[in-house]
Amino acid sequence: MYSKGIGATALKRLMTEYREITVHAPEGITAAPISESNFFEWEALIEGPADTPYEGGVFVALLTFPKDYPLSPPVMKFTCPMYHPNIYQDGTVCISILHAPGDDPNMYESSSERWSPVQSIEKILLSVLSMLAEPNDESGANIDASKMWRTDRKQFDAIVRRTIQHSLGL
Amino acid sequence: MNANQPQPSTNTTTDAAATVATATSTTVASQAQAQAQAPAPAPAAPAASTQPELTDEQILTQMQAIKDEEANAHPLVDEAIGMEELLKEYENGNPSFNLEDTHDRMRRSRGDALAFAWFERILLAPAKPELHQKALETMRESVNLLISAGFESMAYEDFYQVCIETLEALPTMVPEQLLKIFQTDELSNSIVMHFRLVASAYLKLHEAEYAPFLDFGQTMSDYCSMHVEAMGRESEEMMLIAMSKALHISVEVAYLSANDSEEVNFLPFLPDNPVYMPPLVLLYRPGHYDILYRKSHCLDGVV
Repeated sequence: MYSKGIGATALKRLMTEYREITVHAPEGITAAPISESNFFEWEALIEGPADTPYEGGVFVALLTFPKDYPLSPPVMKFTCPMYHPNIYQDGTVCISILHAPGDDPNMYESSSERWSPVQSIEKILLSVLSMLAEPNDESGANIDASKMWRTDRKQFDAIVRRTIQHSLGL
Repeated sequence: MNANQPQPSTNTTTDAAATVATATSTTVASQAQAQAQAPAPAPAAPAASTQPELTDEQILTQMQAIKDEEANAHPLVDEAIGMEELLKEYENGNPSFNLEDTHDRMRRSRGDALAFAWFERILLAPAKPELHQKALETMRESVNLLISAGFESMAYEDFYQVCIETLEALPTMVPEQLLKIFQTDELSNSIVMHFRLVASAYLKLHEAEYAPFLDFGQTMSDYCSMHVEAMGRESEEMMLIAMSKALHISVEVAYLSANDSEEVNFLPFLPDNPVYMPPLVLLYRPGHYDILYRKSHCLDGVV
């Protein structure tokens, strides 16, 4: 009955999520394991939301899952250049849903959504999508971008657009 | 036998997912490749800090190593030991500590106490068939609670599966096997997670009754996601209330507060329905609970 290896629960859950997200993919989001032989590394493509400076861009991110997923959250990192208050220079996404309660590197507001097994890859990606539309300047990961977003929105939008064009090779 | 029992049918699920995997992963991969061929970004500002940067994988590996180290030092649920072990910890403490008069053993845990105590009670009870039947019913009905509270099946089915499989196998188990299950992270955590989700569902469905105990401005949903649904968070009193009501069990918690009382203070948590087993007795520790074994329960042949 327990012929399960370490990570078997995680693997089962990741397969279920993969089936779900493939069948009912939310608009603007694609996500899948990079290889069938490793369900613990996913790649996600996120389309920049309309009416934001990110519109027109398609952003690639890597999701790395721990062996005790979904008890612990994955790490999410954009592999394309991103200029955003809540994304570190190395691409790592800093958003409350990727942190369990008690793990509080950025002093998120107490009401902000946290990681727990009731969350999912889809919910993470939807949160990231809304983060692109509405940065949270209280938990800045890119201080320069946070400051620019607060003080000079035009300049911020211009930098974002330039970054997108650059990464698309335009 | 029970119409309410969910049918997770995991084998077909897995196969379907694998097929889907074959169908679509190539698309994403090739799109990704196209992206990757775009000009590389200017390297991030050359190291303002000189700290070596760890990759995500290294961070995950290190975190796992820390967890493993902790797990090796203290199992999730330990062997039962005599009360003198607890006394040693309190040698210089309050002399009025008298738990050993009424309890003859204890068992340390790292946060799985209530779930283990529940399973162990059913395993060791003399009237096992009846108790086991009742426990199965309770466990199956807990899924309805989760559904009523609006949980998606994906969020609970894997945890429930481990719980119900363990419970179904209980009549053929010896105590060492149960302990082994609770010392295996993945199985133990799944069972504990199911109990937590059940507590969360109960609180959400009874929000009107329990909302007055929340901090100002906090909703029950906030409370549950911050304290109940996440592993490793201390089970506060509200969670014990929820579990005793949802599982129809009574729980007594001993608080060894040194200043306010001569006697050890037992706080009872009672279900609405008549109880079908003597109370599970827990010892409050900062951050978790240990299990206590009451002498009177042993005399009755009930552990």
